[in-house]
Amino acid sequence: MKIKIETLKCNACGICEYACGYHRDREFNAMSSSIMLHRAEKKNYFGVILKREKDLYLARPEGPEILKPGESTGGGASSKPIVMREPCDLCKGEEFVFCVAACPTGCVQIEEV
Amino acid sequence: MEFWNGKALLVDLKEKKVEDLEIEELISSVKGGYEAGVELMKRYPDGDPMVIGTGVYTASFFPSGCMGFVLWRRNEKHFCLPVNWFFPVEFKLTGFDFLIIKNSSPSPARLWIRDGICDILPAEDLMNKNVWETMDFLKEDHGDEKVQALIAGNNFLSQGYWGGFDSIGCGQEFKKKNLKAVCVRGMGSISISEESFKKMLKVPRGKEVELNLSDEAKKLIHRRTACFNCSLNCYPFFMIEEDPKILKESEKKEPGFISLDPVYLKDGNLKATMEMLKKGEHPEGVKEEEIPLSFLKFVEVDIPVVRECMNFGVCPLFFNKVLKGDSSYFNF
Repeated sequence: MKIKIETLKCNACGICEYACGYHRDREFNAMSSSIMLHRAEKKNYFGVILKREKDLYLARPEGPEILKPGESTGGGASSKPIVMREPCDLCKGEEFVFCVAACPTGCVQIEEV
Repeated sequence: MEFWNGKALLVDLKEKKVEDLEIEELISSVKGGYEAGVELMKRYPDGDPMVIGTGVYTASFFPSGCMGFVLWRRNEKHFCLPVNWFFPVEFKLTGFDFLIIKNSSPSPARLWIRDGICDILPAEDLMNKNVWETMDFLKEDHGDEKVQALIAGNNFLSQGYWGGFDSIGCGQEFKKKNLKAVCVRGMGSISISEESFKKMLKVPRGKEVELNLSDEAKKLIHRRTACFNCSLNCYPFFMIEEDPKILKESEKKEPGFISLDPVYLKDGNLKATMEMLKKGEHPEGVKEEEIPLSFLKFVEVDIPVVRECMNFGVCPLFFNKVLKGDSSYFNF
């Protein structure tokens, strides 16, 4: 099982970050989330970044990109860079995957592998 | 306390003083954020107060829990400007549920609120900047793309870049206070029980709304977007300086715009709309309506329903279209 992101379904609502944060902290908080909305607001350019065990999955609208440790996302400043966070554990120990359940558009999905 | 910080921030612009207020007792005694805001206006009547507030489910997993409001009085009349998009969520995550601003600053000022702290900063350099230039400055100065701001434009208050519903003079109240902007970044936490979390995920979500636009305007829509935690995608981005089919990041600095209030779009001149948003001008000027009529038309409900939704921090359009006006969804 892995997370699949259909970026063109994303509407930049941002709830996925907080759902992941709830898995980590049991509070409404995005600071420890493994998933992050990237948005260049004035250009309407947005997508999702997922920190996985061995890489960063950049779900860009023009197509996904995988970054290995040490490679740059080219993104702007962040209060807590995603590389410093825990990788996605597919909500280990939970009844369901929180970001998938919270996403209102079906952008964040589960893919059986 | 669940869903709330239990704190308000009292800012005196004249004395340059900032004070934290414990308001758990107040919050427990009212139905929600709107009623608490009205009560704060009564408790702090001096210095021409303005209250910026949130609702119970602002910053929560409740779908469309994105709403907040600004309250003030003018000529003994009460006004309420609903605020959507992302400002109320970022504000609540700063550690405060309400902000009370009293008096006027002797020199142009802006507020910067985050991590339970509020700074009153000088804003002389911003007074000649338009709304978009001010927002660019705030994002760069605070080093974070996710900061949100309410900015005084020429005749109205803009929610970041994309305008808003202020046809009732909130921006002018900011100007009277010599206040250019309130800028927020929320990195705190809100307490939500596991039971509430799971119940909120079961609230219906709804689908993308239909847009009432000309065929010409529809051709310029890039990707549609939504307020925090909403599926209605009310907001098309009009790509007017770039191919609307572009998927990669545009190399143009300002390729288009979103208008939070559809009233801007009614004459169909999108370039003129973009210029009005930059300047911070509302096409309807300043009216004496308690809640802007353009907002009531947008959400298709009347004033009591808007007040109810402001209590709970939920979008009235979502409440109307998806929850079918059933307030039993608010019971947790």
